[in-house]
Amino acid sequence: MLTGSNDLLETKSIRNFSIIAHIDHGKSTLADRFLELTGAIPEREMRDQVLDTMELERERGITIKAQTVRINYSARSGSRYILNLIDTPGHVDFSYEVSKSLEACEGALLLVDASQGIEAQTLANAYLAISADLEIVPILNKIDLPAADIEGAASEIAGLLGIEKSEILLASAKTGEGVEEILEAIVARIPPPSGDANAPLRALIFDSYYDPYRGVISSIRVVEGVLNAGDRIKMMATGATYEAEEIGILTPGRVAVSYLGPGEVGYFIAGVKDVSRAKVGDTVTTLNREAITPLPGYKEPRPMVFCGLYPVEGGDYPELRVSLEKLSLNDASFTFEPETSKALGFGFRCGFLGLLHMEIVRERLEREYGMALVTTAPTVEYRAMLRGGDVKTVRTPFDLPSASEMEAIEEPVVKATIITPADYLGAVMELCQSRRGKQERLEYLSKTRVEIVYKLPLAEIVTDFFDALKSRTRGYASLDYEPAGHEAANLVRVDILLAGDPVDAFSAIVHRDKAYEYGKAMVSRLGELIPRQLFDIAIQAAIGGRVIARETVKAKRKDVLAKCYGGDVTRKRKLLERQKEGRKRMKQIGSVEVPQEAFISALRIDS
Amino acid sequence: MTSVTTERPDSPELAQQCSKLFGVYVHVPFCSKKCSYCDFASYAGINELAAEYVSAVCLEIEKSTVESCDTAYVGGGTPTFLPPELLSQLLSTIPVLPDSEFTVEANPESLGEDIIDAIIGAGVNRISIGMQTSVPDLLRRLGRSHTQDSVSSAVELARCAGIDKINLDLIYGIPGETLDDWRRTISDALALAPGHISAYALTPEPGTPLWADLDARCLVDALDDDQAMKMELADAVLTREGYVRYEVSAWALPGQHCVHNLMYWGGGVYRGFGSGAHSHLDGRRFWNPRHPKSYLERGGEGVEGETITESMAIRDRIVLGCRRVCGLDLRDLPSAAHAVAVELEDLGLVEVSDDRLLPTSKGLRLNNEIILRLLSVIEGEC
Repeated sequence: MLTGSNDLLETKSIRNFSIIAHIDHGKSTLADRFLELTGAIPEREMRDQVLDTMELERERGITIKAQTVRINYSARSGSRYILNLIDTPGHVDFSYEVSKSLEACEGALLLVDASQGIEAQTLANAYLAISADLEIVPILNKIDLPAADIEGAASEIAGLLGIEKSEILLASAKTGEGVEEILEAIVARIPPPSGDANAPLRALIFDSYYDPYRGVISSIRVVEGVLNAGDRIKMMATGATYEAEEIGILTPGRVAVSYLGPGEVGYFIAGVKDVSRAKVGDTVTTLNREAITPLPGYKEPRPMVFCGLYPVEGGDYPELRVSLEKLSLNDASFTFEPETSKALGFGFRCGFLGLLHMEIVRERLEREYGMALVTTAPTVEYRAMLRGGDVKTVRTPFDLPSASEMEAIEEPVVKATIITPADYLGAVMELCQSRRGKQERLEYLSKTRVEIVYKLPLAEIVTDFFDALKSRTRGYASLDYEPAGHEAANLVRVDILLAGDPVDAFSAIVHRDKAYEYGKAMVSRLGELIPRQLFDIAIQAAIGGRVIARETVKAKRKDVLAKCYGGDVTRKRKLLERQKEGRKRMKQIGSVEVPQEAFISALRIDS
Repeated sequence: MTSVTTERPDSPELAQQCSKLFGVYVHVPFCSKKCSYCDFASYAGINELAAEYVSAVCLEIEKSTVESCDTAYVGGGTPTFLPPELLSQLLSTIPVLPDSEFTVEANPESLGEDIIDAIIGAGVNRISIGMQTSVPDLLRRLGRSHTQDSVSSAVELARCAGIDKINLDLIYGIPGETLDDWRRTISDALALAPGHISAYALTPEPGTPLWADLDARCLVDALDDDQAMKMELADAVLTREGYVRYEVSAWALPGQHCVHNLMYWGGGVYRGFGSGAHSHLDGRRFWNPRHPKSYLERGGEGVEGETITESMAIRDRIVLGCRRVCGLDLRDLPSAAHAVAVELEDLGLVEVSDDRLLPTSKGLRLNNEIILRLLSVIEGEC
């Protein structure tokens, strides 16, 4: 056994690699096969997709949290190797984590489903791996499926990487076919790590996870130097210092060791209280022999999408705060700060890496913490250039300065890569154009599949772009996007007024060309949801002071039970009780009673 | 004890008097068929139970401690659908006094000579006939099979037999009914010179075919507005013809008010017999099983009920009394209600005068608003 020996691990017997694949292309299944083949997990403990621990992940069939595992492999040559599989998150929202995981590797398996071909995410992550100078081992998976188009998919990959088709491995993670060949290829093609054991310690944190019993557990790749158990360590980006109480390897269960040398992958536990103190991308060094420069490429996680989260019952606010705090222990890229809405009361403005991230957090709050929430529509972060030179960050519509105060307003844009069957190209282009997209590139990956790149405002993506894309392409298109700076845009704030009073919760920042459409839709929806009251209620949409759309909920003229059912008083009572309950669920906004459902319904993200 | 014949039906004193009376209610759950709007405790196709049922009700009456009553009301279902002998048997068991008000509900098509004889023989002095509408298409839509002619015949027959108190039940707001249709119905009803007219807005009840048709907000809104207008129209026409409105849905010529209903609406005490019948007695409200089969099986045991606390009594008073044109006596309500009264007056829903809270015409139309606001300042459940 290679651990616990007095000699440092021979770096040449180590292979650090990751698996790059689109959602559902078989990454987790392949990882399970590796574990099985190398005896890492006894079969009876084997569950499908061992490495995905979160229930949410299981349900959605995607990997959110990365998990790393060390595999001991006896090659056909007889030599023994340590293969460190560094699993990566599978979604565009977490591309920073992906790139950090890749930095911990020397190679990457590029896994493509032979029946689907290259997807946008495969491409995006492949580019990431290539630019990280990783050795790519291309693999066509699911060759057992009748729909597998090995020739076609192989051509796509060969074209993409500029390699020969013969270099592409064929496998089926499900049946196990070709899996041993993959392990051999890892040993043969992926270079071993290198690093000077005598240099000051520099280790890259590529994942941090909060465990309720042990505190934060961080996964690291030692680049140079040696980390010993008990060392006093320092996080170079934050300056925080700790003691590395326990260090070890992941098999996938944790096994403590006394030291980790260059090229090794493992974990440390140092009494860190929350993940924001052991950030992904940060460099760990020792206090008594500090490294001079940290490893390059560290970035503070930046939220891209925001929404307001409010408890349905105002009294649940403290509970919401506690739940958010608990969630953030394990999520350094999720931000939240208190916010008040005249309409909805006390809540929080939350920031996420993307829509999926937001969905996940919302669902966890509802499911794991049992919170009933109102979520306001997702917004992005705008930059208002004020007259006089200052720049104001705008995260909620109410923060938007008035037109007279602003010179210009900028919105974040993204570069969106869409891969679609050629049949739907027209529909995709139409969709992107309707969302203020500018086409940048169009390329045929094969006769039937097209890669198209558009520059789109992020605000147009965060509502229902993904769903619209899926429905127009019968689910076949895939999407990946990355930030591409800010651009000036003609944006305005549309306010909704009830009986003359603006309701802050319904305001939105929209593009001027869409303002009327938005105003009309909101006004119409509210007209359906707000019950008739004793007076006519004017529902208006306005920009600045100008009304752009309007509807009236006319005063009710009758509200009485026709009969009194003779001697049956209980029946009358029941009917009135129901009415009374209905009134309790109303929120008084000025002189108008608005049912709770109206807020939830009018502001639903997926409506 | 009946009231003075020239008393205005909407007088507070009359309401007060009637609220102190004791009433008996008897339920007859049998019908030839179920009308499309009906959600009462009535059943078609179980006629074979009739004899057993009537015996059971007579037994229930005999075993009770009720020896006499000021008013008696036989409702259903269709009481006149019973075979004359059974109807006779049932009616003669009811312990009325010579000057009690004694009402029986009737269908126009089942008020034949033998039924009238049975009714008169038992001392019935008031008849309530379900006319509903005089427009044939609309009648069909309601699932009724009688004709306006049968209504006039029934009224004539009753009068000839000596019954001088007649009520016609009308329904408005039927899908497809125009304003003129309603005008015609009112006019046809007036032509029969009934002493009392009850006009009800058709209320779609969950589970009925009518309910399923109202699947959009705009349809519900349109129905409400239509019915609001028709209610006002009815009041205008009937008032012009000398009828006095004394409750949301009730109009009567002076002296022709329904004592039994005024007793209910004043929170009076009463004993109900038969399936689904409710009682209010000795500080309790209780009721028999709804389905005749269950009623027969239980044999009077395990009757459901509740004790009426002081707070419940106040709430019931509001729920029942607000529908009367003579409204409520503010002195009977907690002081918190007085502030609400002012609010309601500002909204034009009531007038406050001489310690009374009187619903306006608008207040009768939007009666739930009055009730809910008053209830909101009273403690406890509805």
